[in-house]
Amino acid sequence: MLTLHVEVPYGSFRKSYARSLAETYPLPPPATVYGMLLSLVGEGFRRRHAGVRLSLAFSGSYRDGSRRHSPFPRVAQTLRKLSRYKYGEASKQSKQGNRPDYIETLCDIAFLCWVDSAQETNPEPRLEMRLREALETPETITRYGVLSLGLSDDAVNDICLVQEPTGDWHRLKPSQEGSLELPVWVDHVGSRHTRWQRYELEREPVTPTEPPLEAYWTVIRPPA
Amino acid sequence: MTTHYLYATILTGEAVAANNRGDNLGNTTTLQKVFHQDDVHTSISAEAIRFALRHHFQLAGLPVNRRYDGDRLIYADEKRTYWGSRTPFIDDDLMGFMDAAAAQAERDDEEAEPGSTAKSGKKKKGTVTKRTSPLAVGRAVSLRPYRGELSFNCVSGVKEKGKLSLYNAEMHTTEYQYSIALNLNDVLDKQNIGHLIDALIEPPPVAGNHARFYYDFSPASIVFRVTSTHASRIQNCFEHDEEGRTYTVARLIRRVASGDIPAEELIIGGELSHTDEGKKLKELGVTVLDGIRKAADEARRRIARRDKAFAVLAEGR
Repeated sequence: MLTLHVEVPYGSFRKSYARSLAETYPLPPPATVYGMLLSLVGEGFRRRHAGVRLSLAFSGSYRDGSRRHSPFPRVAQTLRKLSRYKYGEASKQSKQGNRPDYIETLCDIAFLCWVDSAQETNPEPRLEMRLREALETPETITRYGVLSLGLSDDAVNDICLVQEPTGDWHRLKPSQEGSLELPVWVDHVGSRHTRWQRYELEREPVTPTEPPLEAYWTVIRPPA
Repeated sequence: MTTHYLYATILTGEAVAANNRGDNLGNTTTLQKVFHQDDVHTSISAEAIRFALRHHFQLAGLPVNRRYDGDRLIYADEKRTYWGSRTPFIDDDLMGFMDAAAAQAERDDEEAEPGSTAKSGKKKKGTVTKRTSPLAVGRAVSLRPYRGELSFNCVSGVKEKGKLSLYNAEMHTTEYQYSIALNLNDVLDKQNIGHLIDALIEPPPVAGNHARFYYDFSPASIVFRVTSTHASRIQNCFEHDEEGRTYTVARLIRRVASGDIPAEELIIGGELSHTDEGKKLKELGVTVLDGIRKAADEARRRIARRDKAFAVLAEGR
């Protein structure tokens, strides 16, 4: 198991059923975080590390040390040119596809991500090992593009290994009764294979001194 | 193969920004706004900056696929049928493209190679002609929080009934900072790395403002990082100093002093070099130069030294 600290100034994670108003999930979904980790190690096959477990906790303070008003990142609403159609609809895309529309953006995203490869189903190297290599000896990694969380312009500002987390962190807990529904696997064409999981973000922050308990893990598992 | 990156954070000079393509609600034109450290800041989109960089390439006489003639966009080859058969247009090379049609099933395998056209297999996958952009451009964020500057304006000259133009505009007197990141390996024509650096230090006007305000988006200070590390750690490294009504890079200094950012990977140019904090960074081993152009040339030289693939940049300007 390893612990990562991730910092992303701005990110937008468009809700699966958002249309004109590009609403964002209130937190980066586990599926997106997993995609970012694959990108970091230069992996192009999405199922390569199926079975890996992730656990997330979001920062309770800003980088200047001041306390956040809420455990959730603030949401800004701006206009930008959006594509109004997903893949396909070529004739509509060219004539009506792009127009200014509102988009929501999460601001000052900072979180801890625990990665546990013990239950990965494919042969080694495991994601944990590859992440450690990418961060400790970055010159050994071949990857394309810029490391981003979600949209390609929303670059990751910092990602590093953490030995012992300090500060206040709000843990994201899988919970059937939770108010958040976040995708853990996304079908980018339709929604048939998209899988969601319910969560709650704990209001009381903690300083995590121990690895997450069983109840806090999310398994990244593609559809059968 | 080692992946090399160029990262940069740019701080503009202070000027009045207005009318930056926000929504028009009645007679109020809004500035776009985001949050930064729990405060409201105005913002200019990454798309606006990308457009200006493209326009710089066009104005510099470089071969571009998408031209802007003041009224509309004109493509030399909108479908990129030329791709792979000749030297890429600089805007396609740096900015990427995507033309997707009628995908009908999820792609489980590796994404198509940049610029390739997916072949029909057992599943009907549709066609995607795309190139992932090696360049990421972050939104510009005002250095100073927005405190509600407004101006009320009306048409000048003789007033004619029914032809009055009254409007209320939000303005912001501030510097802007924004960051770019470029995967150097992914740039096919390595000369284009140099052209991008030129565009960063001499950009045309960036969006909004139209004829009412001119906002110079060229750097007053610039921080480059040439590295193989996969995240820059220099985004938004300028912070507003409320008391001094100026800026500070205290966090950047801490990160260099702690070794989180190797001093030898940073190049700083422009006004920051004349400040006490600029001198402190120099003491820590950072290359601190008094000019933006000097910093840009040093970035070129550093990139050229990293791998023989980039040697073409050593020839300089």
